[in-house]
Amino acid sequence: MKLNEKGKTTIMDKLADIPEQYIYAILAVILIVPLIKPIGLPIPITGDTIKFFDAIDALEPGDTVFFAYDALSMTWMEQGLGTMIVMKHLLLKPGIRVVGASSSNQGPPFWEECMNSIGGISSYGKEYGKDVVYLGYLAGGETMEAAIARDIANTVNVDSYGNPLSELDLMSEVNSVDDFALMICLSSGWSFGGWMDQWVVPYGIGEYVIPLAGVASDIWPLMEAGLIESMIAGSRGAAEYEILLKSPGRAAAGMDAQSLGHIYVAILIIVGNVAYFATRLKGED
Amino acid sequence: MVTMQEPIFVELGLWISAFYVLSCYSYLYRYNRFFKFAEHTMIGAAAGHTLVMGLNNIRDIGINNIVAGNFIYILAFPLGLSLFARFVPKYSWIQRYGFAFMIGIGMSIGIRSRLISRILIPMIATINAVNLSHPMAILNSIIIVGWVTTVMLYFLFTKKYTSESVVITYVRKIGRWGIMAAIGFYLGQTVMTRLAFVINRLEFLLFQWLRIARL
Amino acid sequence: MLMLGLGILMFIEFYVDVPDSFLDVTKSLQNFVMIISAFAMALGGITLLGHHGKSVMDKKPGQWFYSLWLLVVMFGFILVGVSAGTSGTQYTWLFNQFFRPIDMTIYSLIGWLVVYAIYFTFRARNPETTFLIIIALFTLAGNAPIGSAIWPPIAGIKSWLGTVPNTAALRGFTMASMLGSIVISLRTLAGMERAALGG
Repeated sequence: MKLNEKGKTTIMDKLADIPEQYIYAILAVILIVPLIKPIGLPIPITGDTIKFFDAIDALEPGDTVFFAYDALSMTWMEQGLGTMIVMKHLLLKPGIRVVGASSSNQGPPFWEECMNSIGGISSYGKEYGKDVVYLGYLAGGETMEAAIARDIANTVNVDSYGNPLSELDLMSEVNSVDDFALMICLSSGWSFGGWMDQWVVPYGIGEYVIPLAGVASDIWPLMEAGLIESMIAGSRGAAEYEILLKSPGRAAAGMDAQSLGHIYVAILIIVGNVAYFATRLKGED
Repeated sequence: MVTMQEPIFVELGLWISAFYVLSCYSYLYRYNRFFKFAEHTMIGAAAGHTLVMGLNNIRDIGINNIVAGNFIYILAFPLGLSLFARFVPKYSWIQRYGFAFMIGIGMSIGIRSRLISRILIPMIATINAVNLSHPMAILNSIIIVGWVTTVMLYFLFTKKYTSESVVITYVRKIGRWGIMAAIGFYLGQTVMTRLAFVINRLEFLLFQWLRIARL
Repeated sequence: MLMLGLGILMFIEFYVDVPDSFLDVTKSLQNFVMIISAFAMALGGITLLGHHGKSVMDKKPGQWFYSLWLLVVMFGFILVGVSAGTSGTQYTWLFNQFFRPIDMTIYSLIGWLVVYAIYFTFRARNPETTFLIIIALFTLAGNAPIGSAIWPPIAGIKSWLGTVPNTAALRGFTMASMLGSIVISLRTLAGMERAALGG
């Protein structure tokens, strides 16, 4: 830190070089307080979330949805909220069936967590094998995605629990991408791209993505090009979806902390730059 | 067998999780033995989990298909086992067959679609984005067509070409502004993701471990 | 030659209207890759076993205990996963207690570090970085629900930033990087890049 002619640091010098422990401590307070005592700030709904919601709402009884369940523990913290509320919406819709599969090896434990968190399939009057099937983790990346797009039964014999697919009623009615009304992709990182290349480009099925907010910037160009139909990005998208479904939960509750955290980061940027320019001007004098 | 859903295991699990969360967060102070312990736990767990999932796939896709009568799948096993030849230096060349199979199919499956999804369709979308109906649309069209071409040229024509052409130099400068816009937007977006991760861990510590009630 | 031949088969399958018998062959080949990939997942485990096993055998000071614990956890997961299945409560408990909290927390550490990094590095040193910072500030304000509550047009501005400037620049970047990636892929398939084959 630069010293002035009296051998001391000015306030601007200190603001240009705040120790990291202070930054962490203030961040902790700013996030913890609204978590314990929510402020109740409004959450405007964006067009992308409405489009995603309307697509699920427009499904007819008998439609089957493919859920590419590429969960990872490191990204579940943000995506789990959106996944659970979308899964809840799917299960609430009468007559809608869901087939899930994961290209990430952490998918199975998070499928269980999602189902347990929303109360289980049976609490929605649905039955495993008839309304919901989970194929589990399938190795092979895009090769697997291309293979099951064409023929699931020829690629996979059993589901995640070891049940032969031939014994599951739902799998006698769906076997390829043509049998699904749409696909939803819980995208760990950029895994939505693989499903897009192997399911959307060759077969034209609509893909709806649940990405991290950071990855959403990569999805906008694809939405503009018509390759991805819509997305609910990050915890903000999940909060908006919870409000649309009239089922506010953890995502909506965490939005106050998100708001204050964003303001804090913006203030840090502004303070850092003001102090930077002040110290630079002082140095040029 | 014990089902692990009894209250004692749930409580034990909670304290183990909290121990690991706090061990990891101790890194914010400095790297220490608790963080190192947590780090090694995770690596072991990740390796074990990956191995188990791999074994399950070999059973579900390989062995089950052979048992069902698709004997052609027997051929996949020598190719898979060939990958382990890397651990025997004298026979490490055998691994190339397994990798060649994986890469030959995996890579071609990837690029055959990407030619369409990442080059052709974006090109068409850029041309379709040209809309001269009103001033805002004209501005959008200029930005989209301008920055798509200049950013692409920025990456295709590297510094080597700028000394040869003034046009390329200025095209790259415009492209750089586009890249700054994209990076600024990405950084703004990524803050939400990072804060969501922090909020999730704080929620675990406050509401699940310490059982503090929301006011 | 093997890679090139397989690559050509996959391209023909995608771009040409081929008979069902051809599709059956390519389907089987794709399933082979899924099985080979499953074998590949063991490579990392074996490498870890070798490295950390040596550390334990040699009683490497300051490391051998951690290596021993790593191997205990790894084999614990394998034992429980193989015997009780990965869908069982035992394996789920292990996964939720010994992998998930650490993975999530280490990743969340980045959140803390990113906030400090943004404060320290986002300094408007030239016009381009100033432009970057302004875009980032608008995005931050648009993302936070409080931003729209204070000034409603910010949501529209942020949406415009995502659908026009960001889309334009990313499209250019994606197309350029894809061209490079396709060239490298074709070179690899033709056998000109040997690194991918493991030496």
